[in-house]
Amino acid sequence: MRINRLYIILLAVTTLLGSACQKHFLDNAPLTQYSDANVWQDSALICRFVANIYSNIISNYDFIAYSGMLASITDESKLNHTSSVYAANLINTGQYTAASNVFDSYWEGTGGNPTGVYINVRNCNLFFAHLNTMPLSPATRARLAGEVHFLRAYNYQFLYSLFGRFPIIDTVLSIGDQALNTQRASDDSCIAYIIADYNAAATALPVKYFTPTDIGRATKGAALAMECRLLLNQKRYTDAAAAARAVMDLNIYQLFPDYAAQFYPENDDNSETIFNKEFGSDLSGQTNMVDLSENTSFFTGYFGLQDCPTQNIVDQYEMTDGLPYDQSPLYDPARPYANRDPRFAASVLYDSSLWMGYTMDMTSGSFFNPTADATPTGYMLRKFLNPNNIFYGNNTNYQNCVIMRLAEIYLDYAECQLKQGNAEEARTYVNMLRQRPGVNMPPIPSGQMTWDAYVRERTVELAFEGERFADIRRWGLGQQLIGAAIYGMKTVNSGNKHQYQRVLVQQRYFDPKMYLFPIPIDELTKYPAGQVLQQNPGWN
Amino acid sequence: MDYVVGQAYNTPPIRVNRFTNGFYAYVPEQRGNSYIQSRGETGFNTTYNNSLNSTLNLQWDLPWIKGLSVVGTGAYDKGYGFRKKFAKPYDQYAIDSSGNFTRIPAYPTAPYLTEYFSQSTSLTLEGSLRYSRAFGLSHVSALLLYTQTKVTSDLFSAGRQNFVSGALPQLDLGDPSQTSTSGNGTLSTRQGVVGRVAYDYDSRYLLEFNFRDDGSDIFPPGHRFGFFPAISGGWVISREPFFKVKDLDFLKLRGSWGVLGNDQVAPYQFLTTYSLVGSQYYGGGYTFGGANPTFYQALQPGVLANPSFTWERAMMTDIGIEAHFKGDLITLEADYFYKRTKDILAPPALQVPSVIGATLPDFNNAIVDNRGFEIALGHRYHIGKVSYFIDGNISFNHNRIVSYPESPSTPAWQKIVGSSVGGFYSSPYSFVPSGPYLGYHSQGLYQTKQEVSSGPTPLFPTAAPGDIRYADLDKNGAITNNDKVVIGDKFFPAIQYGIRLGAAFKGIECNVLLQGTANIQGYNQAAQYSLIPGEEWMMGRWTPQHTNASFPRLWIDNQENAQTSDYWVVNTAFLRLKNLELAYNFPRRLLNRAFKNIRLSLSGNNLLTFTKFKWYDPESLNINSPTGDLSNPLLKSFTAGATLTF
Repeated sequence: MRINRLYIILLAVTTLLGSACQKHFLDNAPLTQYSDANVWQDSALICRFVANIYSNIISNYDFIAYSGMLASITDESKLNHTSSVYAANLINTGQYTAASNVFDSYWEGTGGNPTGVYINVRNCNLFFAHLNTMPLSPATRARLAGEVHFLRAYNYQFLYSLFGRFPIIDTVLSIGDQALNTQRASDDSCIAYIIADYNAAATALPVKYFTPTDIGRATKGAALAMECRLLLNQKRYTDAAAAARAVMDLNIYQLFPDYAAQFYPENDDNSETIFNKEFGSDLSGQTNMVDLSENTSFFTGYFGLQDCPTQNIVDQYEMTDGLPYDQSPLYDPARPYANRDPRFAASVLYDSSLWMGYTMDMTSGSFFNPTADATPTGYMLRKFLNPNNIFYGNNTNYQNCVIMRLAEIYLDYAECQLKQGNAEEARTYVNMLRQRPGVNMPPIPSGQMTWDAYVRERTVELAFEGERFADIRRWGLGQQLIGAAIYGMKTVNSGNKHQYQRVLVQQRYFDPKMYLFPIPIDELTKYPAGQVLQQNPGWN
Repeated sequence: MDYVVGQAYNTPPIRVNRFTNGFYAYVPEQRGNSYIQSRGETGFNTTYNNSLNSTLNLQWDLPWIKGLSVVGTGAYDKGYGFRKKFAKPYDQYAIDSSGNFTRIPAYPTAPYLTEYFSQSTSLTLEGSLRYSRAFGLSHVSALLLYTQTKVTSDLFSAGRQNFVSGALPQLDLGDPSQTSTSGNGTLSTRQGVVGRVAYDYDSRYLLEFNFRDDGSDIFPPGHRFGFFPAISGGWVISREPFFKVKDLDFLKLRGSWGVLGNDQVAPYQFLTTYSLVGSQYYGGGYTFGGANPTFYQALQPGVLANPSFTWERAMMTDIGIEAHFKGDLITLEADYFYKRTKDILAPPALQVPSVIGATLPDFNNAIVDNRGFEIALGHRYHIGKVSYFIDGNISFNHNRIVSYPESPSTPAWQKIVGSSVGGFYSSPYSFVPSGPYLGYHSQGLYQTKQEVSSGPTPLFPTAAPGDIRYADLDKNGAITNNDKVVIGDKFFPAIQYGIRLGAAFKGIECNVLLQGTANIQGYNQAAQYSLIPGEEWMMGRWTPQHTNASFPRLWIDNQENAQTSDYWVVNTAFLRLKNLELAYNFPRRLLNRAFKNIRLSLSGNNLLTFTKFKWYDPESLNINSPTGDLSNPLLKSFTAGATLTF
């Protein structure tokens, strides 16, 4: 008996000691995360590291979930939701300061979507730090490096377009580095840095990808086109025109023959697209919120109806005779939407338009315009929406977000020519847009290529695509177009017909300091005294 | 539960739930119809949990040394969980002004099923040497123990969408081209040594010393172990032969000092890690390939690595006295305590500019002091046949942040050092760093346009009479962010107290429990953002005719009054009748043999609250949530019961 008990005790003690002697009992690593050693020697993981930077590109569609489209801080649209959670509502009434969290996360980063520019920039710098030791073929290495140059330039360009000049960071930083306190560089330095990255990208990137699984990566044309946009916004007309010319001379882009359909998911990466943000199929979960957010709740069964086009932009669409509505004999106030530029019906849903098998009724209280979720302007967005969308599950929408297309290059080129006195050259390119199959607007006659005609063309061609704020800033028209009086159209039942009344929807506020957004105050307070970043003028 | 209550708060009472023809209505605030969901007509979400907890203890009293024993313990816990979630579409309708119904597309449009399976294992092994022996009036005991724990878990899930029919919820019946799966695992380990030596003589002198040396896998190598000693002693003066104070039956002096550790932060922050992201539910990843997409998961860098950080330590000193006078006629217990928590783990979010482009790890970088004293007094007596008792306790707390990685360029009045932890705002948003709880200092309301224009430039151009007037603390002529101050210092409860009293007479009992806090404030966000619609307090708003107002002018989209400021800081001190109980014990002579006792009772909880804060439960505005909790209203309850003792 004693022996048996002894054995049990010995067994227990041995097991205990045996397990205690595991020297590395506390040495654990995460079961689901890779280490530095895993990543930089594995070309497949490196490829996915770059895919991560692509996925954090901030595009027009990403604004929808966060603050409302950029269109809603211009005269293009008005946000339906009134909560101050949406930055557009604060901006429209001028009620924001550096402490108001307007676009803060683009500078500071949330770690989610949208992420901050500096998170993306760090990832680019991390890539370059490991570039020379990557197990890649020289061709792949050069191409991926070109793509990352493009991505870094894209991110800095985006930051510059919102906040202006920024601290240029081109190394991987650690806590305690002096370089963390880098001050905002001058405008010229910032622009030069971005252009250098785009040029490096343009040199290294192919003109076109032939492997189908590479379509959507940055190309030479994309780098040159983004550079053109940057230079135009700096009013460097000669340089911008040269960049636009370089894009056109690649001879691989062509206007897509259907204005509305170019944004449908089946036409992702079409002939006119120079660069777009890819959104994938349903199962990937990497989707946008366009259809869910912009369709009225009648279709979504959920929330909806966010950015509503204004009467201000509807007025910009010409009649089919090429004249503005207030000068054309074709305009009929009882049927204001007949005989308009086809790009109008392709971009805006109005009373009596056909959508997803229904005739839209914009009277207040109708199914499409229920009082709980009504459009404040009488219009709803149609551009970018997929007419064949099926609303279910995670409400996946996967039409790509076009960031740069050939039409913008034509317009940028035309603006440069106009500013340099070459109206006829500008007219050629403007008329190419008017002559797009399906649009067929009468060409502008010789000698009538005025600045106003150009502005109108750019407004309707690129409506809601997110560049208008930069355009207004470049033209100095903030008071008229950002601080504008916003109008809508009220639809009223009268007998068995609808009558239309113009109404004032909102008087917006503008101050010249609003051309640039304030750097968030809780970012500035992270800097040591004496090295605090300079705030944008007028903001505190 | 919160969700249902929150949706109920938000739905105006004019909404229809069900039409007279039986159709359920689409309620916009509920994004559907919560009633149908609550009836289970839209599917189910059932979880099955099984667990096994086992412990094996072996003790062997060593024969060679009296009082020495060896103990081995093993604890093995295993759990399995299985969850099945099935969602079906349902019919909901909207009605237009002419009375026509239209069916609103429901979410989801086709049934879907997801199943989850998880298992977890925990194994703890301990081995110890114990000694316990008495030598005359002395008693000695000692312990030396080694412990280690390993916890692992696995889980995976599978789902299919687009079921043809909602009648049978099995994965095989879903659309095979619409599947999703997920899975991952975790592992964590701990190790430690514990020791204790205790000595007492005649229950008169007491001394104990113990220590822990704990190792956790959360910390980097070389920093994993923390040594936490403690010592305590007591002197029961009343047992001394020279002690002859009449009626003082028990008098004890005691003191202790000890250190405890905390390791509850995210693990692996000392490693550089990358996560592969991209899933159906959480998004992420990227697709190349245009109209024929190929999905690539995205590789995201994790937190910046911190190679040296370790246990948070809380060092606590306590001195106390206990006395009993005439049995339990009067009992007293009083303690003075001082606690310093140092090496507090937090990311230095206020000091590192975002240009670093990465998530910051935890560092040991803050110190908080807490000191105060507690007194508990008790009194028990009887007058004739009535016996009664009163027990009261009160604690006074002074809390102060001694050191914190503050922003290096904010003005002195925005520093959090010197404030209590109430002045620390723990941010629920990732784009707002945790830091001082800042707000403007308010000075009543603007009464006239002249006041608005002659005072410092207000925040926004929309400022008008009836809006809150903020103070220009840095005297620069404009209201700017530098005019904010730390407003949360008093959110920490400085005084807390409780009273229990009761009486009994011939089988009738009455017991009362009161508790309260004093010297405490909270932040009335419900008023600021009108989270409770239609409240009568809005009648006290400012108008040109009613200028002596307790609430600013009503507003929509006016940011002037939506700023965090001390205008909305309120006194949330309260005294609450927590429990009142009346009971009757049947007298012996009425009970038959079967019962030893029958007791009938009636009690109520949260019956009365005395407070200046009338909006919602003042207890919910506490240090963990200075703005309170609107979604869980305080429940007043009444219970009637009977206790039968056999």
